[in-house]
Amino acid sequence: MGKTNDNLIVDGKRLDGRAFYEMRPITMRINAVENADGSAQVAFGNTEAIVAVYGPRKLFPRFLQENDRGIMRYRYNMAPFSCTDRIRPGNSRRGIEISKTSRLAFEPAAFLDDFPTTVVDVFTEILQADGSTRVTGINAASMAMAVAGVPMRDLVAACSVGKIQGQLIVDLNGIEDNNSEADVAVAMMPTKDRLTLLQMDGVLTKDELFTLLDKARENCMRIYDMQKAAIKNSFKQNPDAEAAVEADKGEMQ
Amino acid sequence: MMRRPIRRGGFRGRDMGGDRMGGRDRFENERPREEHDEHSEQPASDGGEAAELHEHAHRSIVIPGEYIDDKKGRKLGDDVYEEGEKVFAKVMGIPVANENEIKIIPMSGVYIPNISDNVIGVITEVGISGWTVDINSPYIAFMPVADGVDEFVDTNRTDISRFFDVGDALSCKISKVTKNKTTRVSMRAMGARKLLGGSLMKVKPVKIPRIIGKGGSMINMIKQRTGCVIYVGKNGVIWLRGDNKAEAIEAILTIERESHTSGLTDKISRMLEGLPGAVQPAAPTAQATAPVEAVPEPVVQDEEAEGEEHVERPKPGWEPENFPQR
Repeated sequence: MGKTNDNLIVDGKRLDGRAFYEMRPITMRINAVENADGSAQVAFGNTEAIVAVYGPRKLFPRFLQENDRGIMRYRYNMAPFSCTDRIRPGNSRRGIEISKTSRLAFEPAAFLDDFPTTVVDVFTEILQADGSTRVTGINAASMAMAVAGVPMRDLVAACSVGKIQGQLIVDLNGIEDNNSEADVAVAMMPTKDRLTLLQMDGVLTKDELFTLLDKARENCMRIYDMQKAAIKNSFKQNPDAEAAVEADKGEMQ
Repeated sequence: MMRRPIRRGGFRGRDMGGDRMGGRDRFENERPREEHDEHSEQPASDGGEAAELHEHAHRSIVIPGEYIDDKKGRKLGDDVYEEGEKVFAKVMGIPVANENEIKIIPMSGVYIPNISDNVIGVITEVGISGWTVDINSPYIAFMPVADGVDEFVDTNRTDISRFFDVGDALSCKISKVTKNKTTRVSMRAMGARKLLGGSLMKVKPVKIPRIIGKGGSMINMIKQRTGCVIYVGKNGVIWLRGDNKAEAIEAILTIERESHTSGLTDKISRMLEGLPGAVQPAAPTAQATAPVEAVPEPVVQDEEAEGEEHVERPKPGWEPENFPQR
């Protein structure tokens, strides 16, 4: 991939044929990792992330424990084979930074106070990278946490927006990402209309930024609807909630 | 061999390991109290019908952050939060909004200890003044000697591993949970006992109400059909012993897998039909066609009846190979 001098916009369309404010095709599914408490897999075009969530569970070493709240550990990792060049496995400066910002995107949403001294572990693996990997990871992680039963204020939906060759766009792919004038990652709690992550790389005017934020919000809403549908549809074959309610009434001991 | 008098709900010291027959006799006499016996009445039906009618019509699954209902002065139950007058879901699950409270029946999640829950724990550590108990939760429980043993124990002179040792399974009760979830368990409770032999299995804690069923109907049916002794902990740990253990485990796993489908009691009932060693139903109405009603009232053992033979009970399947080998 890397830098290119080619035109990124041909005949008013982007290189992959998308309009400026068009997202790539998105697929989502939950329960991608059998052993995890909750898991999800999300693909934005060629970008693909798989997330496993464990916990809340006991936190060791003990000095990391917080007596009044749980903590969250978020690991963002790109698989060595996820890019055209091999990525050196293990921690990298970039990986550590994205892990931290992604974690901060979830902390306002999760009720970690309910689980003092514990940890929620989120493992995000990027299987295939083609731009916007962190937001893909955040979208998957949010679904995985919901499936794991971690109490949350809202799902977190994320998308990327940016500017290429003077044109504002949404959902940057790999080549646009590498050649962008600006690149903004946005995560939000859609039903609360609150931002939880806002990262910008590059230069934008104030007006451009606000235009992009509006677009990002619009897209986050659409992504949220998809997340919601993906979670709910997976329980469609068992629509009989009455049975569970009945059983709960009989709960004893 | 000197024995101390054993009281119900107590345990046998480990120094008796060599005398298994003796242990067995006593065990059979001291039939384990079925933990639901004391609580198996149907929930109070005062206004039950009315409450059901008032329940929110919308019964589909909600995800975190979804609006459930306005609060309207009602109590907030588990896994919901309020913002102003509006109540939202904290976790994925089935919302229940009746005239008294708004809550979620969660579909997943770990076990968080709650006071007076009956749980099944496994001793992980023997300390000086008590035991550390793994209760299948992010929080480890502690059981002080005084809560584990009925008699006075001088901890300076006694190695308390003679009462419970590492690996022993206990049916016990959560006696105290502090704000930051430091947890204590106690054997001073109905049905609390050391679980000898048998097998432990784990299911998702949120599925436990379904496994027990309304008024204990499901678990009693499994017990009756398989003749197994089954203890269900609210923490998702289940202990079973008996000849048809494998079938009972299969049934429980089926319930866990298909917990959100209806007609499950019938299905399990068919699954377990005709097993040898099934307890003969006490009531003549007990037919497979109506298993929920058919389950006879569980035999509640009175204090006076302690030690009496109950002929309708099968002998607990004694499996020496499952007895903890030390």
